[in-house]
Amino acid sequence: MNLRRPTGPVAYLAAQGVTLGLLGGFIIIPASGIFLERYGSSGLPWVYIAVALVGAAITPGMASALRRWSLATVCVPVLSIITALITAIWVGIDATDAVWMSFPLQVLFQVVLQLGFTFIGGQAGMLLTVRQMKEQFPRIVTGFAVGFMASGLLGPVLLSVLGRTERLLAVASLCSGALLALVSLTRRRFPAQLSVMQRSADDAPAVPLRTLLLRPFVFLLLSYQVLSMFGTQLIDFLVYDRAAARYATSAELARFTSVFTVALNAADIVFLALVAAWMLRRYGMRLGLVANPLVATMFVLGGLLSGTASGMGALSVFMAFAGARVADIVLTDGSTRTAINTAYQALPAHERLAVQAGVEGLGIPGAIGVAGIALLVLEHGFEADARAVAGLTVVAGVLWALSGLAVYRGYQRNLRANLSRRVLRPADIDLEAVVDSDPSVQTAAHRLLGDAGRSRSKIVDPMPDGGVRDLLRADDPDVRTSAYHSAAALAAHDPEMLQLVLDGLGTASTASMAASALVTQHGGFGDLLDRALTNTEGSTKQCLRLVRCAARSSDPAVVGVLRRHVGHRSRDIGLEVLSSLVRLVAQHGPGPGPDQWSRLVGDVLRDDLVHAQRCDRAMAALARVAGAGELVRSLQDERNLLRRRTLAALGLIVDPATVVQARAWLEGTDQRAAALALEALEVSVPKQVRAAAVQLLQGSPGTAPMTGSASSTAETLADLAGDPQGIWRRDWLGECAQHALLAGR
Amino acid sequence: MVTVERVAVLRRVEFFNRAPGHVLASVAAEAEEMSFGPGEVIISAGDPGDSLFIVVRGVIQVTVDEGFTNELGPGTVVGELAVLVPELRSATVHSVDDSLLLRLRKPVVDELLLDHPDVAMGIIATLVRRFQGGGRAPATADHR
Repeated sequence: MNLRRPTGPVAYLAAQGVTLGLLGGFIIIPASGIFLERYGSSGLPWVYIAVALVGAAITPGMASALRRWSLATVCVPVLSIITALITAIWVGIDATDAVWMSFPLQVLFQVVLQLGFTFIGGQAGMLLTVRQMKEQFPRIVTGFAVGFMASGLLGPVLLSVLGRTERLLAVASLCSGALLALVSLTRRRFPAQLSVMQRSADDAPAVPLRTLLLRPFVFLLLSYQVLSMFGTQLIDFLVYDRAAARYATSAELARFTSVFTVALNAADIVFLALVAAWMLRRYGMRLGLVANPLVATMFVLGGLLSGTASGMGALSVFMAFAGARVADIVLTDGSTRTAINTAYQALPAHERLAVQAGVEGLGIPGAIGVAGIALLVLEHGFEADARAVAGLTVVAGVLWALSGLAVYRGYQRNLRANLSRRVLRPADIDLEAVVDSDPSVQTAAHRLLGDAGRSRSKIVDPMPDGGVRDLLRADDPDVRTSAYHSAAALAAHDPEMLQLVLDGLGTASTASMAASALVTQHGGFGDLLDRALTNTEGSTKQCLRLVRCAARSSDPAVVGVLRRHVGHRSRDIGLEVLSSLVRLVAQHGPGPGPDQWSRLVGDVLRDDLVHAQRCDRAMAALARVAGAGELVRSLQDERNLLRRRTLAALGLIVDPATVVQARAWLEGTDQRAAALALEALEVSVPKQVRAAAVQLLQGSPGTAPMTGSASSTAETLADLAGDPQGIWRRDWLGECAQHALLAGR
Repeated sequence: MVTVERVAVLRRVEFFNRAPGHVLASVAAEAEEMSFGPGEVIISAGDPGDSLFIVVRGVIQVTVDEGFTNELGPGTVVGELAVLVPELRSATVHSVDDSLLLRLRKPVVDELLLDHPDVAMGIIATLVRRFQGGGRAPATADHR
């Protein structure tokens, strides 16, 4: 699986983010100025309520449109309407001094941001895999923060040039047109991905939005977003409430707002550029979802406690609330947006955009409206002060964090369900049957291929051992095959008979029946297996065939034998040991506690990761060495073997059905499916094995590759050719290295 | 050819490209190198067959009864179905110019398929694609 950095899509989406930031900034600067001058801050709760009503009105239409037409098709008319509205409001205020238009402008600001992020997030979901989303989406959001900060810096300059506040709306209109152009350009650049309409596999009619929003996982997403926006609005209110109490004049307030906005966005950009992607990569989705509410709530709680001790007018209270606002914005852009956009990827593709539009379009404006109502009720109903608002914010923050944990659990469940929902085509089932390590399944596959095996299925009744011995020595493999069942029953007390059956493992035409006879008829199969796995001089081929059929054994000792040999010197045999162990555990239960299996898998993966890094360094050193082509390809084979071992090992600690499906997706050609499979495994495996498993599966061990200097090349070839430390454990690599050395002379 | 070179040839064959190098090395060790001059017969229609041939160098021509012919070059396989279902060959194969082929007998392929289902999967996938493409096998010198 190749998870290259998708520079192209990210650049286009980041450009859209910058333009959206500029657009938002150039709407809110004139909107706030005109609105607050005319109606004051007491008018803001009514704006919040209007935002909720508008959101509720347009969201069903948006969700319906996104299920009828492609995202790209919907974006163009919507952005055209927004551009026309901004232009009309600008002309209206400029020409007729219709100040009341600042009210719809305030509403439009919130609507534009929600729609903008739905469009950008939707495109990201179609252009990036789930893994790339976690890595790259913070960069796209950085574009928004840069654009917003740029609008704050440019606003005063343009204001002095243009003369009147409302004329900044002309710039907003231009930004909206630019966003429309960028969306169209992105669609033209990636037509295959963006023009596609996602439909359900069975072409079932679209589920109504209300039904979608009531599904458990979607409801969790909606709750999380509602609580997120509710908390954000309250924190925003607390900052400006304390600022208003602290700064008496409008000039002081404007200065504070300007400095605070620039500082806020600068902190946001630094966090997005340096910390966000690393944080999500290192600590994953769970932290991405709960970091924002936890940190912001801690700041508010600090302010509340400080205010209780020394009065709400204290500087420490103001600083705590300002800190909460900074933490909220920084973590919203740095982790929450990315985590939520990634969480949407756990939904079926044909429902994703409609859900996203529904959650963003209904939930967020709804939360803003509820915040407006709550503030009105607190202020006019209870004559409550900032302390009550802070208390409400803490309660909301705790609920928000809890909903984050619930979303994460839902995300895990939905990813796994997404994997298991995949419908296998008949051809896949046949092919997967052939890959099965169970000899009986393989035999069936051979029959499909027409391999002669007519008499293999015959099992003769037990017969006297002399007769059996004669049959086992017959030239005709069909005759030998017919005797294995009886021979295996006698072999426990007859070493010569046992050897004759074991010899049968060495020939393809008799191997399946010999193995089958041993596993079902030989009383001490566990001991036999242990001896085969311990014997370093024995035939690898015979040992592999014996281990492969061990899963069919009813001997209770077999699980213990296999456990002891998971770290077998031969990595090929180790893979078969792991595979058989997974089958036995699935049939008979895990036996020892899950922690013991995790430790066992952790040991295997740790050793394999070291070998993977060794292979990668060798490949880097040999990449351009004449005559080393086959050696490099064989080192890549070694990496593929380690990936298969990882998947087999994960079958011991993760639902085997998830692993089987993940394997099919990881080995397929669909990058998006592969990334989804990797994500599903990452959120399913215990923490102690997660990093190693992901590195082994995605083919990047995360270490700097060794450069191919002359000395490193020579050392690598010598190491591979002689394997003095016994770490490569593959004669073929030595042979290839010898060939490369000869070719280089 | 040394084993490493033979493995490089086998890797180019679609049938075997899922198999790791060390597995192909065991196959390569069992392969026989066969040289043919221009016009020499490699396979005769009606003969019993239990082996497949891989073109290493040169060009070969496959002719089926109806006169349908096809020319194949390096990296292609002829007679592959014979190692799966041994029956009489249905096509004649000539060498067009000086050619070098690797011959693999049925037991070698059987061993490979038993221990390496990935190879079997590659073979099945190839055959499925071949039969899906037009409903009949192209003239690749086999018995059907």
